[in-house]
Amino acid sequence: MKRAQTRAAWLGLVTLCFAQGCTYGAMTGAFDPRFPDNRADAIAPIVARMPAGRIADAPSNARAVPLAVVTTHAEPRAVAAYSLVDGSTLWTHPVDAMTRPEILGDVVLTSTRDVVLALDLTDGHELWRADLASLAYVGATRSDATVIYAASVGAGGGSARAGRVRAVDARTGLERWAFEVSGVLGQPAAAGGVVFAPWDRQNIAILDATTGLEQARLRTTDDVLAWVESSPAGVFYGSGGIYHFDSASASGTKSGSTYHGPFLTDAPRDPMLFDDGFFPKPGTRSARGRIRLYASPAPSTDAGPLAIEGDTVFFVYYRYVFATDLDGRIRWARSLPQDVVNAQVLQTGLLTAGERGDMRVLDLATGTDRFQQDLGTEFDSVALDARGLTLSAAGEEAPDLRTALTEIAGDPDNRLVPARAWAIQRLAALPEPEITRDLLDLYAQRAMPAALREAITTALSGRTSGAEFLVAALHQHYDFLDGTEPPPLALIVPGLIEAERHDAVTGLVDQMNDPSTPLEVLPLVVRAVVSLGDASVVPALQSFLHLYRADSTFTEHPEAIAVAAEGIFQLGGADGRTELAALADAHTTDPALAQAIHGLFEAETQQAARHAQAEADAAARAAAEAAREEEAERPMRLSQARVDAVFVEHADDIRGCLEQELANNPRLSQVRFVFILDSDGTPRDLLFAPNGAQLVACLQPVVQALRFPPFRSRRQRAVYVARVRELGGTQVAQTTTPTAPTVHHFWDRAARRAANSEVAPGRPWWQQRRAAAASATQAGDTGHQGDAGNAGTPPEHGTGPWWMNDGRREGGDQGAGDSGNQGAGDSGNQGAGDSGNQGAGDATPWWLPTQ
Amino acid sequence: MTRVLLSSLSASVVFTTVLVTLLVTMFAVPDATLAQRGHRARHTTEAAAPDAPTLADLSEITARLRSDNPDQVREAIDLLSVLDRPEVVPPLAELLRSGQPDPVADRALEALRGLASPASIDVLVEMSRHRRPAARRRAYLALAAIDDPRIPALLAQGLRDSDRSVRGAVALALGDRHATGTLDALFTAFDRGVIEAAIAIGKLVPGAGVARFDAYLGQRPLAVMLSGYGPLLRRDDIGAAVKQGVVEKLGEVAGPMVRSFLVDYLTTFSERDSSPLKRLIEETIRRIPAEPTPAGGAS
Repeated sequence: MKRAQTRAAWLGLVTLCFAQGCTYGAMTGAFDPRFPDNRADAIAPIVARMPAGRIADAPSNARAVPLAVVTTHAEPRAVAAYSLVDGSTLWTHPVDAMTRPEILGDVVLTSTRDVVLALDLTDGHELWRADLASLAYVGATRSDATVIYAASVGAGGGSARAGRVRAVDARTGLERWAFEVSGVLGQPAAAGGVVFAPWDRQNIAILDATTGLEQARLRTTDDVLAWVESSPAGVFYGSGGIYHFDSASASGTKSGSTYHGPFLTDAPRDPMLFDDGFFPKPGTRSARGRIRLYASPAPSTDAGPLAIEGDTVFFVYYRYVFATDLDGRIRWARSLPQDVVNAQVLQTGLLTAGERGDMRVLDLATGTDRFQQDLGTEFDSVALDARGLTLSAAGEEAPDLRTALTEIAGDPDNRLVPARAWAIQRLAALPEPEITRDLLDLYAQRAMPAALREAITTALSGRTSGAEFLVAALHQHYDFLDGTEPPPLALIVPGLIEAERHDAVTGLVDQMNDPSTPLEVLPLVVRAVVSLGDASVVPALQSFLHLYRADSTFTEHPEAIAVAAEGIFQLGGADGRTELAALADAHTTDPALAQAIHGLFEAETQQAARHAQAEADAAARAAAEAAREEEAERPMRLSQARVDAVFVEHADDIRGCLEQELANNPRLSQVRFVFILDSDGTPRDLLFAPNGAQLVACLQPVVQALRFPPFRSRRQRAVYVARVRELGGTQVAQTTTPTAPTVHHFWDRAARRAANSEVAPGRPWWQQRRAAAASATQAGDTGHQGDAGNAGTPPEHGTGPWWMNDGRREGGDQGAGDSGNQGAGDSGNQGAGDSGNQGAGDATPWWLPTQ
Repeated sequence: MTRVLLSSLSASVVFTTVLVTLLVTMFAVPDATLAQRGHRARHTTEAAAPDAPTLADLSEITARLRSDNPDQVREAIDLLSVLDRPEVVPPLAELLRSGQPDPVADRALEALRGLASPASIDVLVEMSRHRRPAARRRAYLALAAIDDPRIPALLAQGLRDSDRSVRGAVALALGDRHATGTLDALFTAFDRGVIEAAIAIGKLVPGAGVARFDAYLGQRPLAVMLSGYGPLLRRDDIGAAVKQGVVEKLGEVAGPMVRSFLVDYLTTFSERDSSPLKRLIEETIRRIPAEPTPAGGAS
């Protein structure tokens, strides 16, 4: 029983928790740090509650009249409301307001140092006030009959960070709900029965407008927040860029959200699209808010691209207004008579409020005045609710963009230098050639600040048109009576050189000879004369050089006359150089100039030497490269055919020796040549078989004089067999003509060896060798056939010299991998019809085929 | 008979006086030129001395201009100056164009100034565009010494120069040359701060144009204005009424500087002069205290 009771109690507690919405445990109603963020399932219902986006075409205030509510400038200060239909004053309420008024339905909210104040929109009387408790009022919004406002401290840094969001009855100020936040709060926005409360520059708590309970939360993970705004087009939030609140917002990222990046990122002072909601909107005269972007987000479908009304962004810098496309291309520019305190984007233009009451609407497409009204009062801040304002048709022709930007750039108001520099940058981007002249004229203005001169210099350097105006500017000279300054040569001359304007030479020569041309820019001018001129400028350079070669003007800075000397050196031919040499040696010539002239000659000599050296180096490299290529084309080893070809070529030289030997030795059938070839084709270490002294003495010089083709290996062993007589017994001395290699099987060799040798066929090779050694010992140096392995002194061990044997390695000729001497098809060792090589003492192993 | 002779003699004396006066007036030259010619006359006289160079020595002297010794070069320039013939202009011009150290170039320009020969106009115009202001100033002064109808227009270009000393020297020279055609340029220069133009204006402005100069009274330093009023009041071509107007205006300004100026101006009047102008000056001087009044009024 007791157990059942306990169970029932737990069940009840759990049920109670769920009933009280304790799904998230013991969290408070809003701004709990444990509240989950970026939950798509929580965002979706909020999105569903949003009204369909539309373009506002009427004022949102309860009077349904386009109006402006201002804080006045003159003492005593007040909040005043004006109808924009006729400019009449609707009401005035004396109060030293510290924040810009906000028009919220039928109430106007503002604040003093200590309280937030609600005024009736109809007549301006005070409806209620609430203590701010030392917090700064940052702004309010309205949802039906509820006004929700926020106050906070800590937005500017510091240890104190606290905020309060409070929902009250719009007419009575009775509190409906409130939250204290230990963080920085921004101005809230309301739509669809929910309130979007930004806090700590990263979160947006979405609260139920009636209860204040948090329904969902957004948190940006890769951005910071500065504002949240609601309009008939939808709810938007952001900082430099702009997000549309929709289902994609749950991603918490730029890439995942409906997002457009910042506009006009090159605009000075980084203007934002909306006021920073974490700071109070000042109600007193302040520079804040005088530099702003204005654009009205347009309705977009969920997940559709973020759109901007009119595809236009307005950039306001005090009294300058620029209209641009979304890609930043400037459409028009205006300079208004008064600083713009606030503005509102309308369907067909921009309503601007000047600080002395000048209200005008600038046409969206052209910038002309569509509406103009003078409220006749000076004010510090203004709230505008003017959608639906009746406008006149687009009026007189607007000044063209070039004229407007030039006027702004030349405006003597030095408060606005950054915007003037931006105007110069945009002016220079226009294609009209005349703009080059406009920029030069701006530069020449005496009152032009240095920062703007720098902007003009940068702008001109990027222009590709209008060079003819640079040429024309050279005709301007200093004139004390006329008040003209010399042209900005440091600005002009580089452009002329860049554009290769040879028609500028005459003007440049005039500037070179003008005594008022600044000394610091004179070298540049002379350089331009030299680079753009030809031989025709030499007389002018000579006159200039002669006149100042000894003058004190250039003692400290001889660069200009040195450049003139260089020009004569380059363009003056032999006569010019002769003259320069004489000038350098003249005793009155400035030493620095003389040194510079000598340097020209020395430099030329050195240049010629370097050039010659470079040519020699190039020739050497070419020769080396040719040698490398030639070497690369060489074979690794000479084939037997190449060896044979050389002997065939010198057959006549050899024939005499062979015939002589044949006369002494009628039985001679062949002579074997064995030698080492070096890589350059030079033979050495010659051995002959037979190796009779007379034969050797005859053949040695002949063979030694032969030159074989070079090859890449270090050396190779070469063999050549000269057949002395034909098969069949005819004794004819003839050299062997290289033929295609013939493969003989070892049994064929054995048979031939048996026919020609004393060694019986079929005996093992080691026995054959021994027999060859023995026969060589017996026969001596008689040139016995087959005794190729025993040229000269009989070997001690019967193995003969290494090159007669197999397998012994020498210089890469023998041994494993020695493709020149071993293995089938070894063309280096065998000769065609080499029957004389077989048998005892044969240098080639018997199992290798002969050729 | 005696009476007839005396009458004839008187008439002759009067006629001669008038003739001489006319002749002097016709052949009057600017002070500067006179000074130059006096200089040349002395040298011409000296040329008769045995050591003075002659035209036959020109080539030898010219050769010395190319010497490596700067003293020889300077001496050669001086000798050419003594020659005082148009034939010396080309070698001096060549010397200038060949480029010389500052002292040599300046000496050559001074020599051309002494020569005052129209043949040197071309080279002087070139030198008037020299980068060194001292050279330009000497070139303009040398131009100012030349008696040639082209000179006033060439001189007036100097008022446009970038160097203050050049503008001032040119303004003075224009006044000395009585270049009335450059009066507008002088007024513009004065308006832009060339104080020397006041002197030239004082020498050149016609009576009807004095009011234009008067307009600067109070706008420019008093000393500068007085530097222009000085020559103006001493001119014979300015009518007495205009001069009286000037004196009255200065009397309104008063002050010790004006008083001193008027006292000095008064000395140009003869003791027997009893013109209204002189009386006005005297009265104005009497009205202007000699010493500044001490604070608290006269004792």
